Amino acid sequence: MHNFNLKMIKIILVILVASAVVNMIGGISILKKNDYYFRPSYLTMQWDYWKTKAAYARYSGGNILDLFSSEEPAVSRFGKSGEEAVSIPVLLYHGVIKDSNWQPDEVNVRMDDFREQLFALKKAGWQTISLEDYSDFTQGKINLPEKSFLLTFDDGRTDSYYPVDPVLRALDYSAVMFVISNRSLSEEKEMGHFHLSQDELEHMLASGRWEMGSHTYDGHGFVPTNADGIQGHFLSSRMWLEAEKRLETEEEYKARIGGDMSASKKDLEKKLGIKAFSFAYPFGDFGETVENFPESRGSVIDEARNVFDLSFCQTASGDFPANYREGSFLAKRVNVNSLLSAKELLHILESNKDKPVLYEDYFFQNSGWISGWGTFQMENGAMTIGNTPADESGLAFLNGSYLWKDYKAAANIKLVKNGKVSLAARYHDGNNYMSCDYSNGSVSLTEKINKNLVSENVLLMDTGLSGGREAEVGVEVSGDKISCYLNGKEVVSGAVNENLSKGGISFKIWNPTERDSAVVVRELKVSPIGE
Amino acid sequence: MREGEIRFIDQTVPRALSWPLLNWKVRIGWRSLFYKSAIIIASGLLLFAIMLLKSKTTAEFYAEPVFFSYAIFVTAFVVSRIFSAMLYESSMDSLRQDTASARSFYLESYEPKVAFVIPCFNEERDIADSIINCYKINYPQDKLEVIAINDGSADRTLAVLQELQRTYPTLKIIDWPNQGKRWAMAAGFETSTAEIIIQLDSDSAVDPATFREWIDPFQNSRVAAVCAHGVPKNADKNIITRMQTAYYFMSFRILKAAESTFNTVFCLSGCGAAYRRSAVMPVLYHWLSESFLGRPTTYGDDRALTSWLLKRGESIIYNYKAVTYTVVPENWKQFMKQQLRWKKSWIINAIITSRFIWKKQPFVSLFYYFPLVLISFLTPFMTFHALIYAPLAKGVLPFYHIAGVILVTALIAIYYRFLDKSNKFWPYLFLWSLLNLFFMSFILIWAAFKIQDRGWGTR
Repeated sequence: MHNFNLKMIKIILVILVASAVVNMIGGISILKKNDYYFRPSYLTMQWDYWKTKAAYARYSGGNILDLFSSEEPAVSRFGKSGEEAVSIPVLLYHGVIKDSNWQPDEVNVRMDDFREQLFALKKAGWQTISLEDYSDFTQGKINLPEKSFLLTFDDGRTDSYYPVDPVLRALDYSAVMFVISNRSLSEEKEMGHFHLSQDELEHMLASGRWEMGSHTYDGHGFVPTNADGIQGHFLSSRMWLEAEKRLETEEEYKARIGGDMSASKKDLEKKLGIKAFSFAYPFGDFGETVENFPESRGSVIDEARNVFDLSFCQTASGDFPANYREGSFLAKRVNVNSLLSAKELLHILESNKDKPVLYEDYFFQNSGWISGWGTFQMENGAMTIGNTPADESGLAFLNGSYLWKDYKAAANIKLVKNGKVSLAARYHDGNNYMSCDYSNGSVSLTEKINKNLVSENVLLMDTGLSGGREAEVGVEVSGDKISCYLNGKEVVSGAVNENLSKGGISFKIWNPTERDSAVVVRELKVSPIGE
Repeated sequence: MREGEIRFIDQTVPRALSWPLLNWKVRIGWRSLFYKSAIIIASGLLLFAIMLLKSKTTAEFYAEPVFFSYAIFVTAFVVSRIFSAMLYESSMDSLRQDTASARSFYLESYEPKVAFVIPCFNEERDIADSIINCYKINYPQDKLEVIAINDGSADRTLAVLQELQRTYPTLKIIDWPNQGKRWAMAAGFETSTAEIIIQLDSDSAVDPATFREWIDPFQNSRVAAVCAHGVPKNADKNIITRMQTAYYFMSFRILKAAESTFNTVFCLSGCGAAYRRSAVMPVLYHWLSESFLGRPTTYGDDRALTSWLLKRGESIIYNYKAVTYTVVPENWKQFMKQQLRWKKSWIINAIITSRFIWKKQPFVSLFYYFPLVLISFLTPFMTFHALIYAPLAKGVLPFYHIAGVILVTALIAIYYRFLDKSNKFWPYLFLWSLLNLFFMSFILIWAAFKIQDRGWGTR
């Protein structure tokens, strides 16, 4: 009897211990797989979410109790105004730094500034869109509400996810992460890693707040460009083959960068199960800063176009900070960091709004002028653009004027010191425009395409600008004809480059010898021609 | 409880062994129910915390099979001890039922002849109390025998004994030159005619109130020896004694109870062991002449005798209802000396026992004894790896390892609380555990090196 009972007890013990072991091993492996939810970083994110939500409630003047209420009543996708967007700005961030002792640089942004920037956008009614929406919009397939923007992060860094995600969640925003696939997807990452791991990327995708794009396979770096080991960007430089003592051929170059791009696409699609159709150029370099291989500008974009549907670079100085419905393969992004205040950022985005061609500006408040380079000042009815010891010219353009076609613009200008003042029309960016240039002794018509001076029609005459006197200058573009006016009279005219069928206006001062020259602009009036 | 009173078994132990885990003494009441639920929830949370910790610290099995297996193994071992201890009452019930079915009744007052055997060596201070205490118990005096063996004491022990003999004429004194505790005990077994022989250390005392509980299990003829529950007399003296009190409680109520579930208690502790004389006599001379690595074993006598009984296939149990009091070391030096002595005897005995236990008790060997031996010898190395090697070689601080030890201790502490809510020493279990982690697991290695040093080594 007792022996039988002992046997029973033994059987029960074995069952209990075996189930304990099975449960333990099973539990450990389940927890290991879902380790993500038990990291301090995940718990911090939950805490940050509530903190951000409360902070935004305070910022937007709402009631703290709104935190617990359900979502706002759904307004139409086109917002309260119901207006449609004509352009979409794209913002670019890298790391978001929580350390309060960190000194701001041009790449990263301080956490407080980042939050302030997004809060300002949210409060002003801006809403994020998806990559696909962006792509469809620029191709003219869909309409989007007026205040739509695309939020992007480069490099796939942990510090652009952990601090950022709670803010996105609190503001109901989404973002795109451009991932250097080999650095994120290659092997298991240790705790405290710099690049996001596959596990983290999967959780980001699952949250529905993140999309992924490619930031090369492993091309976010440098290659030697000559025997001395001078380094150049991986994508835009021909690599020096030390073993063979030569530069790679163009074919080898294309195979290298094309291979990197398609490897990245494959990697992302296979490992994350997404459609990787977008690409961001490392360093924003798509071939425009090349030393040993000027043709790379075309090549980088061509190779990218073979693999991807859409690519992202950064705005250069003087670029319109938004993307229009031109189906462009190249999207321009505004690089945001701590050096840009929330107010300035909001100004850039708000001024993107298409301006009517019937436009008057008395320069008491900035209604969309953006300084490309040099100094910029607007006060008391005057806009002053100057050059600096570093820049021989200074430029400001009117944001929201990009879609203007046929118009006449006139303004009063005055020179401080000497120099050449340009009033540009059909302005695309700092390298593509038509302009009327006025100096003390000449008026000229300039045609600039892709940085190159295509034509310059110079007329020597006394413009009456010398001695700081004011003169009225004007430009008229209509179809393919452009005319320059001085004090109401047409002085020179010519043909508009065929690539410049539309474009806005800008003012520029140029003086390579006196680096403290400036142009003072007053009373700008723009009116449409025709109609 | 009157002499000769008989109660039928189906009244005292009415349950059949249907589902052992349900045999916990469940008192109905909200407070008790609340307390028990809290304990179950706490142990669930703890198991989760342990798994979480392990999921964080252990690599995959494929990456570090040794450490992964060790981590699972140790936790499973602790859990298996607690499960076994939970089944203890079922096993005891079964023994009682077995007695009843053999005889069809169960004696409430079973009174065989009992002898106390007390070896003394320089014990003039404590011996009188011990002996007087033996005569105090509630047991027919004609069935009680007290034998004191003066093992060549240099002090007044003999004089004290002779003085006592005037008050208690039945006290038997054996006086001889020093031969060691083992021989003293053997003399007791030889001299006495009692059926049950209780070996008491000179500083131990039986709790008169619970004495019959000790004798009671011998009603079942298969029971060869019964271990009583040891409680330190000087429990509340200082931190060292409090810590040992917590350890004693855990060691008896969990570890010994777990061993007892399978009727294989591996050590009848010196502070209170009752033997059936007829079971001991056949192994007495084997035990006396035992040697290890060519030298006679002079300590761990209790362990060795238990081992001989196990070798004969005897059933050895522990009854927590019977209480004996003992004195525990009050300073670190004595404490460490005792630990070293215990570890040495444990090593020797582990080797001796390993030779036969797998034949006699295959189940216990597989699920308890060999795992215990393996863990005991592995732990110093694992501890060395976690506390010294990993921090120095890999820069990995042992926070997780220490947290793991604390969590497993907490699991034990929860069962401790479940067994006895009123025992206030449970927090010291953590101190014991940390001391064990940082120090005592290494003592085993030290003990292994000093194994040939066979002095008395007692207090």
